[in-house]
Amino acid sequence: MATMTLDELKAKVGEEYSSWVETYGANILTWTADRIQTFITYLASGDWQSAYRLAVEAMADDDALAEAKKLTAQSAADVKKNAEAEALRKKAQLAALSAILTIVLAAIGL
Amino acid sequence: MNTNATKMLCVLMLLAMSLFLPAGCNVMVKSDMATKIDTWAVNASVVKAKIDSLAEAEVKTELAINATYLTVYSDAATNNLFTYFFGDAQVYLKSDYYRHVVQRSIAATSFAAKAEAGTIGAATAKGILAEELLWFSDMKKMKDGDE
Repeated sequence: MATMTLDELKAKVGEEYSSWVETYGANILTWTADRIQTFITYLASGDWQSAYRLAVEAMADDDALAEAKKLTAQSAADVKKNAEAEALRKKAQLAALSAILTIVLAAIGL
Repeated sequence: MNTNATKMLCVLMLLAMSLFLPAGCNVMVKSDMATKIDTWAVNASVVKAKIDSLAEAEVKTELAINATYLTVYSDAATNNLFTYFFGDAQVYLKSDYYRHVVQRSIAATSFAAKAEAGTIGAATAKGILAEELLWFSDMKKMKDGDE
């Protein structure tokens, strides 16, 4: 088991992944120093997928189920966000087309 | 109509056309992935109805199937960006949607392996399976524009 603190781990992974430390940090700190270093190296090189795989593989029952629930909640939020963005895009399209039509009609003198 | 008016009309027409270029992940899930998501959702609803009665081996099988589906979907989400998101590939690769799809795929593969190896309990495996089925349902909502 490594002797790193959460703050030290957070500093090593950078701001972009600090939320990962909040979520998985307690578990990560129980890993071997080598495994933690591999995790940090993955993130530093932009390979967050491999880092995430390490984190998930190390999850026990409760953490695994909590992660599955978190992923479902995230996708539900994505669906909602997507629907809102889509509605806004359609509204903007209609407004723009309406404005264009007005200008075109004015340009041809109607 | 004078030349300036014609130029203005051309610019406005280009602007109008640009409004209809693919935007957002809705385009992706309404593409060729739609059929697959439909199939998954149908299968998911069937399985969800009997999830409590599934034997341990069946749960393992379903988790493995889901992991395969999710990997296909995740790969497609990555590859499709070249078709639909080439203009904003970097933005897409950093988007929450993309990241969450890939995370779901990685987690599903890992959880299926854990279930197969018996390193997670039967109740946990069923709980994870239920969450994955909910995910399929969410993807179907996104595809259908129900939400």
